[in-house]
Amino acid sequence: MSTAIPRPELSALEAHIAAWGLPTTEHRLSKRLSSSMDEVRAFYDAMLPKLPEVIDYLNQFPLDGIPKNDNPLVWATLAMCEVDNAVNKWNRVVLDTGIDIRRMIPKTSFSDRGYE
Amino acid sequence: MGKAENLALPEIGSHALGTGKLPVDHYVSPQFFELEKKHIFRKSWLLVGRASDLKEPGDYQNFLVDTLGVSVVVVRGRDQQLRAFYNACTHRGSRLVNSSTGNTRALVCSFHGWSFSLDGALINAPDAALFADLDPAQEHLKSISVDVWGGFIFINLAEQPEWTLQQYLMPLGDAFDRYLGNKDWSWSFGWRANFRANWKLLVDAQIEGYHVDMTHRKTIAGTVPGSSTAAYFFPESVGVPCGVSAYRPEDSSRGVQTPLNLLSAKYGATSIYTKPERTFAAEGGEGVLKEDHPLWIFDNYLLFPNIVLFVQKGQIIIQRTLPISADECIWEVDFYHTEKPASFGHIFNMEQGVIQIRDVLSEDLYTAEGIHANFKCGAITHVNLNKQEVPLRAYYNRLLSAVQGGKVKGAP
Repeated sequence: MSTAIPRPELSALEAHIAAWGLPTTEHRLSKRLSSSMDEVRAFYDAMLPKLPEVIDYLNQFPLDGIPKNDNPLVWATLAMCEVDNAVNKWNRVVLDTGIDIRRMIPKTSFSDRGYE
Repeated sequence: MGKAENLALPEIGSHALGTGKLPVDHYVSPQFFELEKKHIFRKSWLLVGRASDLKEPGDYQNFLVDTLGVSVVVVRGRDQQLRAFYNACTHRGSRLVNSSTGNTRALVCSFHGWSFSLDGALINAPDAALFADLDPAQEHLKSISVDVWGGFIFINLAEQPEWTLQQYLMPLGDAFDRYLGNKDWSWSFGWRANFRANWKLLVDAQIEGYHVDMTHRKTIAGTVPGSSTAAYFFPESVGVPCGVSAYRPEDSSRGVQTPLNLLSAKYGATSIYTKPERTFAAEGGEGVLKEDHPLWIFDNYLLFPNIVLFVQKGQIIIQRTLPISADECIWEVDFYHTEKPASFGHIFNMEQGVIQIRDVLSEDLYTAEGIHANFKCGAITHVNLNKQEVPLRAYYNRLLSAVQGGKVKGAP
């Protein structure tokens, strides 16, 4: 059996994890849209060097075995996907060549037409 | 308002796609929209659901064809057969089910309690003696044609559909049926949105590659160059007029691969725009996937009238557009995968893929409302189409043949 991977040292990131560790994609989208580009970039720049370590650490657990205390870390890591294009492609928090993402309502199944 | 002379182009039946400008009246004319309702939405095979979502006897789905006001119940019978009925009690027309999905032992009207078996027969009418001459055999729920292809359920509102579903989707064939019908495909996520635009504009945006370099200049431009998309059409098909193939560029350094993209690619293959280090498992695909071409990403097919089906290794994307009126529609997209995430790395990969595709779709959806307004106000009366946009001509030709009687040269 392989050796357990210890939780990375993240004390310098805790404020970012608290701010961006939001539970759903929609929450994280909302956080991006309401942040300044400086805030988005600060989060991205702080998290990026640690990301491979963090993913390796979280990846060692079965999905239902990730420590609950690490939920904010899980969500903040996923928030990096939400800010990726803003930082690397747009240099702004909103994609101004697309519709407002919030118009796209997440479905719960193929048949979900929203008229329950 | 549409001009009558513009509603008769191009020549029907010959599939002479031509090179001329196309009039825009078909997108804004209320008269033409009435023809679409009558000849297209009441006669075409319409995708309504996934057979694997209705596994057990009594599992049902309620599908609303908004613009016709038609509510359809598709239900799995005790004999495992799928049946479709108008969602209308034969007593006084009340809806039998109101939720979009569910399971029931019988279809019971909540107005007066008439109940129908899963095969549509009237099995109980409270105080039946109150009726002068009630004949249960005459009160069977009104049936609708239903069939399954590729594991997807289609309905047809015509009294007698002119083509079987197999004939309708003929260019796709049995290989697609086997591949898409693979029981391991499961729904992963999807979105819906309403648009103040004609329903066809949302379809048009997905069946040509000419837009990619500009529309997607802030997302995937370069990684899927417009010059790497191939348009094709099936002139003798009634249900699959056209499609597009997409390939990666030979120069793999084109486009922006972010550190997040590259990191997520270690854990899965959800993003179709990143070459994954890890590939999905998907059974079969022979005759469907162009895996022998190292740069191939996906093919899409227009399933007439309102579905664009994207097929690639390990992921199926279905875009559906249903009109509400000539000027308003509902757009939906649904993603199917062959694997459920089993680790955080896979979740991370899926999140990156979902967001990347979401942003790309937001760009595809961006133009429709502006185009519609420009068509509607008369700023634009005709559109130009190039060779790469020829699928739109094929779509347009099929549309016109449908509203003028549905004749397609060589079709069954």
